[in-house]
Amino acid sequence: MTLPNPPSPRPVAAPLGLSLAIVVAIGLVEAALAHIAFATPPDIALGVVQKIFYFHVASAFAMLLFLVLGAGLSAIDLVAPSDRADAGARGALEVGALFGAILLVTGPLWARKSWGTWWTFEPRLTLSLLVELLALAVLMLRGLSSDAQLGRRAGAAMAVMAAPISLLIHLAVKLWGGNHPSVLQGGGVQSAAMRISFWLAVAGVLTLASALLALRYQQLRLDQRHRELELTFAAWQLRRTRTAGESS
Amino acid sequence: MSNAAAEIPTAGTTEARTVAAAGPRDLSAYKEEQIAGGDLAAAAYLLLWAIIGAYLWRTARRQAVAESALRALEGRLDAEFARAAAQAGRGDAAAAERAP
Amino acid sequence: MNATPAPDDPRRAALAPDGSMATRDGLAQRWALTARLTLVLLRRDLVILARSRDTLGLVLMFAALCVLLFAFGFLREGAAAAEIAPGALWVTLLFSTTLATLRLFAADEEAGALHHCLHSAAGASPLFFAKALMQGLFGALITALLLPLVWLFFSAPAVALPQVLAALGLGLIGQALLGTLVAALMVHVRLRELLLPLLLYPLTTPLLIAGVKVTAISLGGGDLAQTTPWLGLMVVFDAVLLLLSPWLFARAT
Repeated sequence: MTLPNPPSPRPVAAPLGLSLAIVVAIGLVEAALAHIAFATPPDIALGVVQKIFYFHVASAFAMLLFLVLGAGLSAIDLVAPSDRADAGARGALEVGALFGAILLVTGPLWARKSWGTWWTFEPRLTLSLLVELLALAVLMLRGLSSDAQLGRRAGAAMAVMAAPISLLIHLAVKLWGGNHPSVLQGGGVQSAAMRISFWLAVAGVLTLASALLALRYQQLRLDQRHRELELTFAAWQLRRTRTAGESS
Repeated sequence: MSNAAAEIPTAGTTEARTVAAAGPRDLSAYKEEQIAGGDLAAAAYLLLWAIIGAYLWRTARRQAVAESALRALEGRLDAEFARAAAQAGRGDAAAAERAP
Repeated sequence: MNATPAPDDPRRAALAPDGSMATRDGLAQRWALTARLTLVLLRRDLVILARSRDTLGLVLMFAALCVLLFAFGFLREGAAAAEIAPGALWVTLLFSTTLATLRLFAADEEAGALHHCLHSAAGASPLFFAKALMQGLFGALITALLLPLVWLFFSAPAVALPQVLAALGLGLIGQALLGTLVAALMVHVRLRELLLPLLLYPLTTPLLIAGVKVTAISLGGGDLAQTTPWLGLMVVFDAVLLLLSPWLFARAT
């Protein structure tokens, strides 16, 4: 009677693409920062404070993109459960919430100067705050669940539910009234240098967000692999004790 | 606010006019108390990096925890493997004694 | 509406004899079974409610107290400010229905029946609809108490009652669907008393905004045609919830 070999902990190799993504992200962000600081003129009406705008709007893009990605991956995980979709959904929600926090911190600083007030109940502002609170609550739900599988599914369900309702929240708050400048229709960008700064910032922030997601994804996969190994090991130990009991 | 007060024809019309005249003066005082835009921009960029830094720090700590847990598991696996091998060896020796 | 059970799922056999869900007979049979089980579960919950009325009594007392606090908190020249009456009504409704939501699955959980109800022959849908109906009933009872109280405390002016009642009805339907889903997802969560409002309240904001607006227009004697888009928004919200929440409930519990 030969014993089965114990499971070997194969290390999860940090992929080359991840290091590359981080290097590219840092490079793009540095370039954007340098361009914003030295090559772009201050805004005619608003002055230096307008330089908040570039990373503020880019963070808004990142938040939207990654929260939608998180909701989509959650839906996939609910329909066809897979550890990859789960890790991706969780990482995307985290990164989305991270850039949501940046959005909500830089927003009032800009609004203080351009609107003369720290906070106003304006549709997009209210929506971002509500969605950010929702994303944080969904992430906490996973952490506070006593049953990992049920917590994972509950978090995924809440993420899926939040996506269409966010649209309705937006509609409701918009009907309520507001005055946010519309950026993409030429509201905020005046010169070619500003446009370059803007798109550099968007590219930099989105690559940075993707790199952070890749980092967190790889780590969550490592955790999953660790749990798997612990389970296999426990099963192996049980089988070994049983075989030893039979042979003696 | 001051405009609304001026439009309403109340008993104290002179008072309403005073409020309207005081309007622009109030506005200029309000503009003077505003914070310099450069400070706001600097604060925004500092906070931005503080938030990203905090997230990276937390991710790094989680990575350290995961790696130490994996190392601990590896240690337990090695010990278990060695014991299993030793037991298997004893079993072979006992079989060899019983064989003749 | 419900999730299709996997081919090896024992539930499947109970739903349609030939195992296919596409046939008209199978679907009709399935709906009949769901409806019957929903009524059974609803009757059971009503019996439980009738035997121990503590929860209902406490929730109603909380609602009355909450309106009183709003009246005290927003005094103007010695009297409760009439212009906050719509907000007081809707926020009190939101707070007090949450108390019922938090206790929605408590009896099943404590008796260990939740697992069996969730994995019955017809899937999780009957439990969802029964609980949503219970939650809606709670909401209706709370509203029946709240409306006269708010009218009394805030000495509210003439009301366009049909609009207000329509908004309240739509709001309660939405709250019942959403509350049932969130409460079910929270069953295994620590600190759920704290976390549930954090998930529920942001999601109910469209209902809250629309409800407050409709009530304010009706109370203020405004143009009643202005209430139509808000009521429309509430209908769309409820329709989205009606499509999504039973499905998510079945998938995630």
